[in-house]
Amino acid sequence: MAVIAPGRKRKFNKRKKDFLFVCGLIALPLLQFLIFYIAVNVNSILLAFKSYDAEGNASFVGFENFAQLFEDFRNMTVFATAAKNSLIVFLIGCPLSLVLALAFSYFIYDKKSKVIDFFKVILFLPSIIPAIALATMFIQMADSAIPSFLRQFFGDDIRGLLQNPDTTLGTIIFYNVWCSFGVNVLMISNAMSAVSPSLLEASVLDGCGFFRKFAHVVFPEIFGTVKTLFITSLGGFFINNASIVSFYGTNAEERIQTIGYYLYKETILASNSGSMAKMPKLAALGILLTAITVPVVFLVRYLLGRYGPRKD
Amino acid sequence: MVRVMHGKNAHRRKKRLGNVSVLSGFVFVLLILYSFSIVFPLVWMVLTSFKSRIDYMENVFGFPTAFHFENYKVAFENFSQTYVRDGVVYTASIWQMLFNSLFYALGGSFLGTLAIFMMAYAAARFDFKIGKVIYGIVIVTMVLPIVGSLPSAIQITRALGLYDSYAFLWISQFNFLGVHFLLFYEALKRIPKDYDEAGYIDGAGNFTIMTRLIFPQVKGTFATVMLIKFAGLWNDYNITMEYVPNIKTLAFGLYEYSQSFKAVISSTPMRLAGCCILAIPVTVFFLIFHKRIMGESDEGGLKG
Repeated sequence: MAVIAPGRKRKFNKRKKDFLFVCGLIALPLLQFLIFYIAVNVNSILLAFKSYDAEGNASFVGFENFAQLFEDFRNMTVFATAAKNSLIVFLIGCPLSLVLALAFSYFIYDKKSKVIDFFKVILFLPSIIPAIALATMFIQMADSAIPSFLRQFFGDDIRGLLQNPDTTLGTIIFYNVWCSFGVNVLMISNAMSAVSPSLLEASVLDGCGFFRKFAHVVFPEIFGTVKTLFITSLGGFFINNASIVSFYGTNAEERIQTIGYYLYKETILASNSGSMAKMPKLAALGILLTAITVPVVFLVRYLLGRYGPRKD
Repeated sequence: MVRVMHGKNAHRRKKRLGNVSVLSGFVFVLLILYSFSIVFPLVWMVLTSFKSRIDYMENVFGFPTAFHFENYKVAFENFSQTYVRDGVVYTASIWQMLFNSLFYALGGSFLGTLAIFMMAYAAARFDFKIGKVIYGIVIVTMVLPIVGSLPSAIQITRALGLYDSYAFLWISQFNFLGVHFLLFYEALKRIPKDYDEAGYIDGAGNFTIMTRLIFPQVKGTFATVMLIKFAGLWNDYNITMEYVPNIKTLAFGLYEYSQSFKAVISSTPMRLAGCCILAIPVTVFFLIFHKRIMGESDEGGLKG
């Protein structure tokens, strides 16, 4: 008969107690994750293959929702417009926002002082002020205050920046860039603060100036953070409603909608109607867009990791 | 010869210094302009919210000729929203919305931070395989972009009987995913395991070690994450639109207020008075806690 040494037995009991404690700790958050992430996404896939009648009874319809979607892509102009707008918002907004956040963060980092820290607080303010309050204020500024002011000099022809069809999308992009710095500046500044001071001192001794120090020392060190911020923006390509919900609620005109806005608005309207009829097609659209986004995101992530600047 | 080289280097350095000041000066000017573009509209918003309609039309950007505090009284009264539940019409007053906002922001931020702390503690302080799985889940869900799961989420919420319920406001926030998990994970990993050993030798159980020995060392991180979450939830109006249409928060109240066609609140000063009701408390809150909110995050950062 084998005899277990008391020390080993104590260790075994301790490990068992630890395991039970860990199970107790993670049980509820894990259950929440299983319901609100795993079950939601599995159900989203199942929903895409279902159809609901007027009584709310579901039936399996195979790929019919996807076929209808492709039919809609051909017949409804909203998809082409929204895809074009999403692309414009991303291509202009993302690089501009990242470059400016990099420039501001580096300036704050390079000129460390209490006065400069004040700018950091200002840059973060738009991330703290409620989006709906900021958007409402912006509407009043763009469509009421600025036109009223300009009319004094240029006559009555001046229209609001959001009211004028020629400037609406540009103004929306400006707004998104304008209020997007806070979190990016914070993340980039944090990454910059982790750059080794000896590296910086060496670069200064080598005669590197403001820009060369950034390009050759700081940027390669913080590239991981910049890459993650870019990838997050890319991942949100089809989710980004570009604050259009804050500006127009669910009533935005077709010409300014993005894919993210269209998907959000249609889901809210379908949900408020109390009917499930439209939900399967929206779930199918979501799956289709995820199927496009995932490989693109992983490919870009791989390429940036392989060909991006390295720390050495 | 040496002197010539020195001369050339000095000239080059001087030229470079010139470039440096131009470039950094340009960024500085941009930063000043940007800061002005943030501060000016905010000051304008507050000042305009006290103007009469006529005062505003005659003097768009100027100082109010008289402070019309009654604008806020009218804004308070018109924040109320009616909704229908089980065929009965109810009115949510601004005080009811304030209660809903506090219920959601305080409870949600506490439970959300607690869930992250518990999961990060399990992953960082014990060497079970489940810890690696939790860490992996957080990273994968951060990288994996999932589009359009809202219809499914609404359906499941309805099926669970949580749609349009107060319980949903807390349960939905009790999740551990996101960048704050990494913040906690790193903070908990940094604490030496000797603390646990010493506590165990003194007869403390796992719960006592976690609450009495380890938690006090990360309570700063806990407070920071909770503050950030509080501000986010206070400002969030999407949750009401999506899952709890009859539990109106202040943020949703402002959304409906800003979209309203009522003549009495259609003027710019009245719209901006509504904005101030929601924006001023959270801005003051941020200015008080900005060092904690922004400073503690310095320990984090993202890895690609």
